[in-house]
Amino acid sequence: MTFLSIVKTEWMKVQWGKLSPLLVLPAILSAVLSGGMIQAAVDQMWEAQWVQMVFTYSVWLYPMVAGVIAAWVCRYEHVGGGLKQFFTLPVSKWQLYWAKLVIVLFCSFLMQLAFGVSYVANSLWQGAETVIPWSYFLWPLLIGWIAILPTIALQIFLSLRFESMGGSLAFLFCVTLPTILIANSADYGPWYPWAQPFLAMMPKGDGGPFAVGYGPLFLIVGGSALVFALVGTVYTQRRTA
Amino acid sequence: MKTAIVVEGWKMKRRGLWWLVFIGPFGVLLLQYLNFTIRYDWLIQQHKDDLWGGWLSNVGFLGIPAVLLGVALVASQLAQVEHQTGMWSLLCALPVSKRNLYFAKWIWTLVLILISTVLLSVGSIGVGALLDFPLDELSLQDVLLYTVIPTLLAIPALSLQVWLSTVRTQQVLPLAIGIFGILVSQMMIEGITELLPWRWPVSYMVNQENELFLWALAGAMLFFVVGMGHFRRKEVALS
Repeated sequence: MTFLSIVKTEWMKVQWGKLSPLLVLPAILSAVLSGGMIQAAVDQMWEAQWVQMVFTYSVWLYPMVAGVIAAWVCRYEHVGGGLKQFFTLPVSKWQLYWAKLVIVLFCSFLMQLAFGVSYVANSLWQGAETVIPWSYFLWPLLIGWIAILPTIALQIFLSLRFESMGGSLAFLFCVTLPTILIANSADYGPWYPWAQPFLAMMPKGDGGPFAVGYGPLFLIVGGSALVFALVGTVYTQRRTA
Repeated sequence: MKTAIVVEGWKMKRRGLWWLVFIGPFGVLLLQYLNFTIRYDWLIQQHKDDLWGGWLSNVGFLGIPAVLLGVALVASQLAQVEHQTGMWSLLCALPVSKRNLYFAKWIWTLVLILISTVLLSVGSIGVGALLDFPLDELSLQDVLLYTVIPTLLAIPALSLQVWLSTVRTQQVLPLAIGIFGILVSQMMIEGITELLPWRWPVSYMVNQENELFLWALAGAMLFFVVGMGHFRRKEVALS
């Protein structure tokens, strides 16, 4: 069995019909919750909407839902000895962890896409100019996708580790709740892995309070993702079902 | 009824629940203590007219999401004991009414959260004293407002979580709903989110409208009765 076929089996185990509402929920919620709050001149509408919607979306909703999806793709391993059955297959155990990582990363990509669509639709509906500023938001959207990597790498490990979903989700809740406090601080914010999606998606140009360069951002995202993924890989490889 | 409650107490052992009861308030107080030591000058400047009020309101704003998360976790864990081991079907074969069973789960969730709350309120006075706030200026009314009353207003959310967790075998959904409710409520957006039960503790802390107690009472009773009705009629199968 190759790695690709493991990803394929993971893909089939997801139950996409049940998961899909979760993928669009943050996008819809951020539009609904921040839609009417913006009073900006028409020519600044795109920027104002972006800041407001990113704020409601990327601080809590996006990391939390990514964590819930990580729990989701691990939930059936704890029922009816799913892990045990998997480990009887002629594959390396660590590949299971990576296959789940690929699936959750793909789900996060879909979430970002949904957010982009909801941002454009909401801004147009609020009366922004009809010229869509693609270059303004597509790049932060992509960086924001990469910045979720540490979070999901850790959450998949925790969800495999703890049999009850409460453990991993409670942990994620506790680390994302103070995100906004920590992101506010110019000293600590850039170093906090769970603030990265937010920092990545905030506009960089104006030198505002959340403007962190892409250099440190990639350093933290890459570094913490590497550490968390290593922990997850080693743990899964050593696990005795 | 008494037996059902006592048995429920035994089943909670070794599930990390008591640990959760202590770690919750400890974590809230520790974070706020750090917040106040790191930003001491600025925060003291902010609250110099009412040091205790400033400290307690900070504890409260962090304590409310913590209490609500605790509610979701405890309700989920107590239900999971039965889901995981397929115990519902065995329990329901015993001469115990399903009503008592459901009530036992509900009351234990409430008791654990109340213990946490008492720890938080006593601890908040202790840590406040540690931060050298003058004890003779302490108003017990503030302590109640920022720690105990939010928990009482969290009882509707508690009834809702117990309902969701007992009727769902998979705990991902009840926990996800709870977490979303908490997060959306914390954003303090006016309008439709004010109807969410997770919003009421923080709403009262900000506005102090007494009608909220009536709403909370009605909500708690509604969720409890509907949840119990749903649970009683639900078929349980050997899993």
